[in-house]
Amino acid sequence: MLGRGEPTGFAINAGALERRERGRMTGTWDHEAAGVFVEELFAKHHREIYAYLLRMVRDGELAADLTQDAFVKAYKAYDTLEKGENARAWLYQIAHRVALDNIRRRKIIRFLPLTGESRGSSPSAERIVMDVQLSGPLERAMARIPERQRAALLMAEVHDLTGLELAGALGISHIAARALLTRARQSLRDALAAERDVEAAAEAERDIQYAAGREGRR
Amino acid sequence: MTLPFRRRHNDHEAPHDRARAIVAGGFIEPVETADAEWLAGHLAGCPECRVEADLYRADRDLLRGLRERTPEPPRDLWARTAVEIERERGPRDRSELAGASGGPGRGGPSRPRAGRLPLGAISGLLVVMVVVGVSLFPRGAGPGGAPGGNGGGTTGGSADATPITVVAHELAWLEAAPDGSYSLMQTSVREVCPSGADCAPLGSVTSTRLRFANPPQALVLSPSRQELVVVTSASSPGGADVMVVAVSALVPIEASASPTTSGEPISSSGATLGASPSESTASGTPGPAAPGPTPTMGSAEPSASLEPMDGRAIATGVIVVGDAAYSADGQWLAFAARPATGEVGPDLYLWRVGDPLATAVTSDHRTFFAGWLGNLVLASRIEPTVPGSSPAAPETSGAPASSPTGPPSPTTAPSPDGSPDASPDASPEEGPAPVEEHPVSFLLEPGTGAVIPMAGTDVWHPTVDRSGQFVAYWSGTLVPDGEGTTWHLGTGRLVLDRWQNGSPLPTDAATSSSTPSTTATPDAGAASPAPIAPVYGPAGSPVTIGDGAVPDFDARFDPTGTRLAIWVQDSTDPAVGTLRLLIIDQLTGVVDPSLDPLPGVPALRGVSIDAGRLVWITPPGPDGEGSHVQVLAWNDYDFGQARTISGQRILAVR
Repeated sequence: MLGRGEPTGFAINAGALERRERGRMTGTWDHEAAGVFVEELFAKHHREIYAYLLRMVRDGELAADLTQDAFVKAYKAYDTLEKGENARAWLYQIAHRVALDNIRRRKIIRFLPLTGESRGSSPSAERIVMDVQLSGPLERAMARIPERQRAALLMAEVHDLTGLELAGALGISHIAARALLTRARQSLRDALAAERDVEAAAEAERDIQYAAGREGRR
Repeated sequence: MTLPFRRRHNDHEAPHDRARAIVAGGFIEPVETADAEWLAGHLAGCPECRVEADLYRADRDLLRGLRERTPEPPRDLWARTAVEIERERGPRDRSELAGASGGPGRGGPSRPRAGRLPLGAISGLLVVMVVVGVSLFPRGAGPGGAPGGNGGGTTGGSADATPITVVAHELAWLEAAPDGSYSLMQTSVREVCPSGADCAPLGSVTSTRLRFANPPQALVLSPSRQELVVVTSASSPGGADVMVVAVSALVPIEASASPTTSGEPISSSGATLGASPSESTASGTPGPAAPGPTPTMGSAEPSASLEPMDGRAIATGVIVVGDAAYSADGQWLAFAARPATGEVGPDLYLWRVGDPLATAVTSDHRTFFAGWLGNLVLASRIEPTVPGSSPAAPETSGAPASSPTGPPSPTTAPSPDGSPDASPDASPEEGPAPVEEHPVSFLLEPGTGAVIPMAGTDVWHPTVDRSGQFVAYWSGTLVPDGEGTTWHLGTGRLVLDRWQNGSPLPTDAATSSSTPSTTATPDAGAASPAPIAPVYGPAGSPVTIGDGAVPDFDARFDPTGTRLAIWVQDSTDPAVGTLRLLIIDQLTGVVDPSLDPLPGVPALRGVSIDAGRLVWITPPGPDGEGSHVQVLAWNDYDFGQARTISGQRILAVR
């Protein structure tokens, strides 16, 4: 089960925080403090960030790349985090932007489908397992809804961000986050219904083929 | 500004919507007592809502089941990340990192404002800003090309305003240095402010040094991002050139580019932009430059040696009238142009990617390019005023010789020097009488020359949104100048209407067989019955979106067709106008008066609109204050603005 880190957010190493504050005061960049900061962030949250990105982009390799990118960005921007207890939402905000950027770029470039199904090489065993994990009706329904709505649902329901954390991670107001989430739930319901229709149609098609096969064998 | 995008069409739905919102919100936060009581009462009397609430809970349980299926990240993920972080440690200092990171912070006290250029460094610049509106470079080519992109050009986390996060919008513009070279600047806008003045100015994150033989007037990027079309200034001796440049030659040099926080470029390359000596017919092509790229990382100093570019002139000695634009598939470029010598009016030019020259496909000297509808040219022609006659379709170079207005020219390909044909048989009517003339608009399939008539009378310069839902156009007449080479708007109004596609859109060479098109001369006007019922055109229920004095206008839709930017020229200054953004209700097709995110701002000619953002250039101030590239961007809920630092003598793309 995915953990939330800590109930009130994330407390990074006090020494790293002090050094970060010192750097902010003096206007200097402390490589060591940034490194310690990100290393701790990574240890605590990389699994959930990877899971979030995987469910956003539905491609294990790409999700790993984006997770890496998110933590590198966190390293570069560590001095912009104002409160250590907000680190988790802040990290989700980075990951969310990384995911949206990537999705948008792929939509523009159109060389890589969102499912990541045509990246060239034959699928590895891990990839096959991953595909199975991502191919259920719920995952397919999630893939049908707009990215921002998908992100809101994942963060709120799977990763347990609070309303305020969700707003911070999405970069919108608290009210807007709630409205987005409401729309997302409606979209998910519609998408699930559509998935069920597709499944029913596929089942009917299988029945027809099965009957035709039996008829042919006679 | 918060806008009620999701308007209620039925007030009686409001309680149900409220119930949904409370149920949904209750999953992540406690419901206030008053809301809970109201909800209980509502659910008691609304069985459908109870079912819906149960479904919400079921979906939620389903979603939360994902928690039990945690995917395992690659084991080497930290090792890979650590390597990348180690790379970042290199020579960067704190400010460099902050400038390049585009981090997510909301403006920590130490976060520098992007674009805080020392004013002294820019005061000497002659700035020519050309809004291209989309990324000029292949994704991933520059420092921002890595997954996640950059954000160095974002509005910094200003402590003065709470930024509005928007989908990243990439912009580019051109700045001229005192030595005559130019920098093609690129940035990405991810945050805007409710009030543009509160945001830190946008800075550039990449730049490419260019040299032009003549000052540029407009830049157009091909959909493939492989080509950059440069229209040089018509005021240059010999007229303007239309040149095509390979974008690959403009990609900024990557690698050791050092980011800055001052808004200066973090990477750059250099090149001279001019027609290739073997192909160019343009005069004033710059002399050979010293070979080899000259990276000028963040330097404001002009590069002394720039690599020659593979530029090619596809038209020379012309005055480009209006826009040049690529077809949706990127295979064609269209524009209207008239000879720089000024004896005749404009004709429609087409250039197929890869061809040596653009070709004039009309010879009436009265045809204007309006835009593209997918891969079909939208064009307008002004009919000569001949009492008792009806408007006729344009003469196209590929059309058989059967026209009510006389046989078309056998060919209207430009002469080897690129200047358009100036056949006297199609010279405009003489006489300075201010006669109002009537326009007809039509579609043209570029591959076959097939002309498809358009419904509607007096339809001038139609702009159809990409989804083919709406059309904006001037519904009225035009008045010729004394020489009959230019026209201005006469009596009429600027309107919005639904666009009708009566049959599937032709996209390929099969156009002529699949649609009621003709390569002859269809009667596109409604003054007399058309031989074939037109299936394209305004639906016939126009709504006025601009009346009164409209000397000239520019209308552009966003990709959704629900945002329409309207620029109307001022009566006193042809370069300046007033810009509005209209919000169109997709269901009713009318402008929503309650949503007015840009009620009218001064703007130079040449706006750019794309998904989620509108870009324009502000006019210079009266006291020597420069212009800005101004961005209005929006997400699902809000509009906000941001802008660049000011520059002098700004020219806008058309």
